Amino acid sequence: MSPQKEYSGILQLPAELLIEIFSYITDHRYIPFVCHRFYQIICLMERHLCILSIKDERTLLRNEMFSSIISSHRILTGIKLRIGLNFSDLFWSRFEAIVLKLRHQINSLDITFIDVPQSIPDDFKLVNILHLLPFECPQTLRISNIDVEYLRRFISSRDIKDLTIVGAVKDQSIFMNLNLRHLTLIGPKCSINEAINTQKNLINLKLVADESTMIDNQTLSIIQKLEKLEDIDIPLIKLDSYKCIETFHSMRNLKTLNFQSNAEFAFEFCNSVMFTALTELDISVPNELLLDDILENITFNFPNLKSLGIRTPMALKIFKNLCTNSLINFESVLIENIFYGFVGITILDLHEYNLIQKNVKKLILLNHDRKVIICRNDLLRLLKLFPNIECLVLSGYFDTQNYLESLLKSMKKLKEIVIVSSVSHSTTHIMGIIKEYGNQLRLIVLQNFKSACDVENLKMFFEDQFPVIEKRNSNLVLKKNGHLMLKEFS
Amino acid sequence: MQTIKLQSSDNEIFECDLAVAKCSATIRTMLEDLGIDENSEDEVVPLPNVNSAILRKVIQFCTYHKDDPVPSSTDDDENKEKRTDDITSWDADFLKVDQGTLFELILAANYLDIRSLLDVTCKTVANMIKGKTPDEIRKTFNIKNDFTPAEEEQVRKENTWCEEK
Repeated sequence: MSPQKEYSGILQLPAELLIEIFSYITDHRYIPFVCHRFYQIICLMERHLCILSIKDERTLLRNEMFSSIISSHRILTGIKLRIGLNFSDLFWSRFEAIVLKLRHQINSLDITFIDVPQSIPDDFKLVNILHLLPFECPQTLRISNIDVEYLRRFISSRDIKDLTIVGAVKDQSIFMNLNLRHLTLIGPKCSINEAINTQKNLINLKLVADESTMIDNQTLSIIQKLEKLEDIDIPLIKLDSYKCIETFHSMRNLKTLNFQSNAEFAFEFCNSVMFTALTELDISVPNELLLDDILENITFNFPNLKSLGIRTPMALKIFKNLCTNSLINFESVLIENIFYGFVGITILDLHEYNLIQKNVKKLILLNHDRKVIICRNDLLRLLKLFPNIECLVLSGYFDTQNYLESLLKSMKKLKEIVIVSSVSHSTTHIMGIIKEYGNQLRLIVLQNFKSACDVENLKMFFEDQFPVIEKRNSNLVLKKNGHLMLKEFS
Repeated sequence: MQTIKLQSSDNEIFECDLAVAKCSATIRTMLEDLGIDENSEDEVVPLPNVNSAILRKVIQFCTYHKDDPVPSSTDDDENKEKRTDDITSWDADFLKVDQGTLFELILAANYLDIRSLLDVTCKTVANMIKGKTPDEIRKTFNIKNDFTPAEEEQVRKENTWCEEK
């Protein structure tokens, strides 16, 4: 490398070449902050698709914020809206102005009620404003905590490709006129058969549901007929395992499978036949007896698997296997400790398993056993076996208090860290660490911090320091998303 | 084997394979449009926008890649994500140059219309930006932060309601 020059060569490039370069970068969020030139280029780029995020009433009530949205050069392709029943007329008139301005470019809409309303009054202004959107908008719709009936006419009059509903859907006929590619239903339902029966072009299907959801053999028959399905995430607990295996193996396009079931089923599924298309698998194995066989069969029967998730009371066994089996070559690993295990002393034995897993970029560890809090040294030792992790998720009983700092120091490649905590942390401690180390991380998510950690305080701190804060509030998605999400550091 | 002479901006003459020179769509059209006779020995193609150091690198690149299959433009699926982790080790070694040379190669690839060279150089620069904070990006490219605190605040404000898709 030659010594640094006085001028910066990259700024001498014409706009079209900078656009060419930036088009290779999917995450643009830091580029506008670099300098005027970069900011202008990003504004120019058609590929730079942004979402307008209206987090509360204040977002639009603040004059300077509203005018900055209305006069922005950015190409906004979606709106994320969190609303309450008591929002003022001024808010709605400003929201209407924004929708009118952007209406031909809104591809995605994400609407959440801050509090779940018992009923929505007839004169609530949301739906009338949404009807200002042209027929083809939006392609992607996510609604949570809203009575679906309120939006029935809107939903069924649109060409929606990607639909997510958080909350109950009482009347499935709402799906009749839709031609969906992606469907996610989160919440209690009586039956989903009607919802998916007509969706011949469905590619992704995801159900997060409670026991009241009826997934039966008829559901499987319907799923089997959805030839384009690539990605399935459903609970299979009560189903006939042979029927399930037969169904999945007949689906040629299936790449991702995520299910909860019993150990026997997981064993039979993993043991049945080669399934080369499968690249992602996430299963529950609530019985330790079959675990070794399952792991062995996974390696042989799913040769193209890139991502493995196993939820089991015998999490330690998975670790042993991971650290001793050179055939395992996953990029992403999720291990959930459901009931017990992870006993301190056995973790100490980990140094015997010195096969370092260099390919693992994403490691997700979930421990739900409060009797076995994983402590600092154990965790650090364990993480040393995975030197190339870029994303680390720790959820549950991990004693992360007072050593987040050393964790960040020891992991040079870490870019994302997600901690869902069940043990208490001090607020000032977290703030200090983030002030010091936040720069090297793209994403920090802290969820569920209890007692000593004052969430409101922390939230205010983040709001001051960093631009984006997202809060999700549904217990049903807690497992995969979470309560408080604090992200974007610059 | 047919050869052709190329003249750099600093008047150095490079003799290279015709097949190598034709990796450049600009030279291809020049030969056709200007009616330069491919058989004439003395004809020289002037390239006033490329200096000799860069032209030497470009010829080296094209010589190595001259037999690569030409990717059809329809290959570009509309939703296909642009990858940057598919740079071959030869290309990566070839591009172990200082930043000035790298940007001059981008400009030359653009002027000469050599798609494969433009792609790989842009990817290399994109990789230098990826995953970095604004400050790290500035340090990498020696860019001065020309925002006033008020302007920076304005960009930040925009980012409070604007999220990456």
